[in-house]
Formats: sequence, structure tokens, C-alpha cells
Amino acid sequence: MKIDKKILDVCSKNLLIDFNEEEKQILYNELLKIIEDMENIKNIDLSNIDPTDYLIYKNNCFREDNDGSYENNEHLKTLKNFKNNLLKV
Amino acid sequence: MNKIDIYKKNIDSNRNLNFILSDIDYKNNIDGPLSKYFYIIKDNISMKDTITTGGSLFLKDYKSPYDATVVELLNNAGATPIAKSNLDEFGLGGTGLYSAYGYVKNPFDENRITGGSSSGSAVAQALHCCDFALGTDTGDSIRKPASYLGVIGYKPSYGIISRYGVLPYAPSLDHVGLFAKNINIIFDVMNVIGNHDKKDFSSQNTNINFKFTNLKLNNLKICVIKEMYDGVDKQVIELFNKTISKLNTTIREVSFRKELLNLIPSTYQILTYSEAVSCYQSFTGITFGTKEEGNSFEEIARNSRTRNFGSELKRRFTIGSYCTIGENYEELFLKSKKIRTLIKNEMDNILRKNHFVISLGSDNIAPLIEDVLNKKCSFTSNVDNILQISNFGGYPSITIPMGKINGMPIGINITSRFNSDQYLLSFAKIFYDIIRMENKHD
Repeated sequence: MKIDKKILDVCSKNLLIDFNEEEKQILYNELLKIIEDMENIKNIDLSNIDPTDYLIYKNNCFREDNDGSYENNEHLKTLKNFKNNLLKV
Repeated sequence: MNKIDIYKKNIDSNRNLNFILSDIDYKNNIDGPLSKYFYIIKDNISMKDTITTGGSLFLKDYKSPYDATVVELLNNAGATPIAKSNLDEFGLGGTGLYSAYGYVKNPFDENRITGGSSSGSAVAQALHCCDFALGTDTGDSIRKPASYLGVIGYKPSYGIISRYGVLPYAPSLDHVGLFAKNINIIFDVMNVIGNHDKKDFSSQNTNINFKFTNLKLNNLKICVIKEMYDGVDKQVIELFNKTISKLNTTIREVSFRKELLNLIPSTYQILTYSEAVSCYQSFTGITFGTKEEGNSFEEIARNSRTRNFGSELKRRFTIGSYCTIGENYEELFLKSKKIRTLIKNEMDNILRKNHFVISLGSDNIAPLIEDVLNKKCSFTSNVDNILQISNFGGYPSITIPMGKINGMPIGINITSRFNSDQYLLSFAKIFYDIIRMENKHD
């Protein structure tokens, strides 16, 4: 797993939180430590292990995701501004 | 002087310890099973028309529009809330040093931490300001401060107390629990709040009867995880061994896979910080909370979050964000969930053969604030790890006072099988009675 300080800019953008250089340095060191610790996972066999999401089994009360087989073009064709495979915006 | 006046006097004479964030002026005329009790609410739990700050500047003026289920149940049963207590910001801290409203001070020694994040509630209990105090526990946030302050702190099995109306930290590990003057009060309170709540998707329908059961000690299988002793001071081990010997029954030593114990701190950080990021992404200042100036949605949100979230929160959010970016999701987050499964399986195996696991409530007395700020304490001992296992697996767990070292309290922790809360509390009551009786004789 790679880590450089640029990744902290990505985190900052995603989090909508600004960091100064000093904060970035501290965070960088913390991340290095976690990654170093997690290297020990390599010694543990995780094949056939299910991840624990929640401790109590819950039925999904929403419908399952339906993976449709539509081509993007079929949707686009229904749009008023779609002509000659181009969408006018 | 009646009870409420004594409690209010105790609060007023200790306000310098910064454990109370706001007083609640509430007269409860309901004649119910909890009418004789007065309680304090950790300020990440909502009560209608009261300010709920979560210990954060972000919600400094936020008035809850509704009651959390746990508060609604307590008030409907006649209990009277008297104040809201200070905490590490949104529960993301284990020291009592990370509230936007200042450190919570330890009543035994102001140079030492109280532990957290339920710091204010623990101090309230230690200073006899209430019959019980609500807290939340995601890693050890009730049980560790209970140890440092010499009070009883109980985290029930996952999903027994509704989390509806409670500001989250990491929903898959969050528990609501309580500090109490004695275990009989916990039984009374749990009979009211230990109910299924359809408003909380993780709420369980257990029908546990929270009633004392007179367990015969010789019939119980009790164990200590031997790795717990690693790195613990001799003086603490001596007190622990002396205390468990008072049970006068066989206590076995069992082993926990060391490579899994070593992974608990990073697994805990990855899971909880990642969940926390997701929980707090909607805190932009636009729809609620402290709103800062800006020319666009992004600028307002960025300014509001940067200026009103504390440093510890930002640190944890950044780690959480990193752990869920791109390939890290599988390499860190997903793998951590699998490690959690292994840790839970290991503990399930131990609890299949034993009714109770006894451990220390903390690896030592409360550390000095200076040492914590200078990172001389890491809170990654096996004692800390064992406390966190209870959150990984949702096991009921309680810390009771064990004694004092150099004038500072330290507790002992007991963990039991999932949903065995009635037996855990019964055993804890028996054990605590023995400890108190023997300590009187010592």
C-alpha cells in the first residue's frame, strides 16, 4: 500500500476540512503507523472469513439492487435533445 | 434536605471540574417505577428542547427537536433528568481532554485524566450528583472512566438500549450504557430502557428479565485472559489477584491469540474512524449546526467544518477517510471487518467454555494529563484491547470498583456472553458485595 502526502489532500477534499502543514505531517505519521501495524495482517489467513458488518442479523427491508441490461443509448434516446448519438447541452 | 437538593448542591460545589455542560429544569410528575431516581445525560443524547452539543462547537446552539428513545422511556417511567454532562467531542476520544468546552477534571487529582468519552457522567457519579448517569461506549468509554473514578459503569449487550436520538460515533460498535450508584439501580433502569425500539434498526428484541439471580459461585466457570498481565505494573497485578481470590472459587487462565490481540488497536481505529466519517459527512452547517460564511455550498461547509470540529475529530476523520479511499477500502477497511470476525470468534470460543471473563478495568490508575498530551500513554495495552473486544462482539461488560493505588481508584471488569446481561449484573453484584465486605475488614 502506497502512501504519500498528496493523499492527505484527497482526504481533505473529501472531508471538506482544511489542514495546515503541521497537521498534515502529524496525520501522515499516524497513517504510516496504522499501515505498518496492518502489515501484520499478512500473517493471518483471511480466506473464507466473512466480514462482520453488524452484530445482529437484519433483513434488508429495501429491494435488492437490480442490475439492468439497458444500454446507455436507450436511456439517452428518450431525451429531447439527443440527436445523431449526441446530446445537446 | 431531600435527594434532589443534595444532588444539585454536589453539582454546584464542583462546577470547577467542568463535568456539567447544562442544567435541566424538568419537573417529572409521573408516578412510575423510576420516580425515585434522578439522572444525568451525556450530552450526545438528545432531550427535547434542551441544547445537545455533543461536546462540539458545531452544535453549540443546537436544540433537540425530540427525545432520544432512552430519555423518553426514562422520563415516562418517572425518572427526573437534572443535567447534561461534558464529553469528548461526539464521543471520539478516550481521555476527557477533547471536548470543545474544556477538560473534564478528575476529582481525585486534577492533574490526571478522567478517561472518556463519558467523562462528565463518570465524574457526576463519582461525586454523588445523581442516582445514575447515561453514557455511551464504543471502545471502553463507560468502563474505563468507571475504573479511573471508582464507580460502576455498565455497557449492555449490543442493541439492548436504543440508540435512536443518540449522536453516533461508529454505529456497528456504539452502545448506550450507564453509571450507577449500585447494581440494583441498574436492574431497575434496565427493566425500563432495555426494550426493543422500532426506530433503531440495530435494536434487539430480547425480553431479558433484569432481575437479580442468586448465582452459586462454585457452579460458575470464570476465567482470566493471561495475556492481560503483559506489561501491567506489579502493584496493579497484586491488587487484581488479591481481589479475584476473594471470590474463593476456581479461576482459570485462558489464552487469546496474540497476533489477534496485537491487531485490535489498528482494527479498532480503521473501523470506528471510517464509520465516523460517514456519520458526520452531513454536518455541513447548511441545514443545522454552526454555519460559517462562504460564497458556495462547498465553501460554507469547508469553513464550518474546519473551524468547528476539534483537532482529535479531524485526526480521526482523516484516518477514516484514508481507509476508505480506492484500494484502501479492501486492503484496510474490509480486512479489518474480517479481523473483527476472527476476534469475535476467538472470544466466542472462550465464552462458550466460561460464563465470565474477568479483567482489569484499566491497566493502571488514571494517567497524568501531561503524559497523555505528550503521548507517553498509548492506550494500546492488552487490558485496553480486552475492553474493546466487548464492543467488537457486542458482549455485556461492566466495571466495578476494585480498590485504590496511591489514593487513586482502579476498577475490575467482567464480561459475559452476548445477551447474558441478567447473569452478568447478578455476578457483578455478588462480586462487588464481596469486595466491599472484604475491604472493610482489610
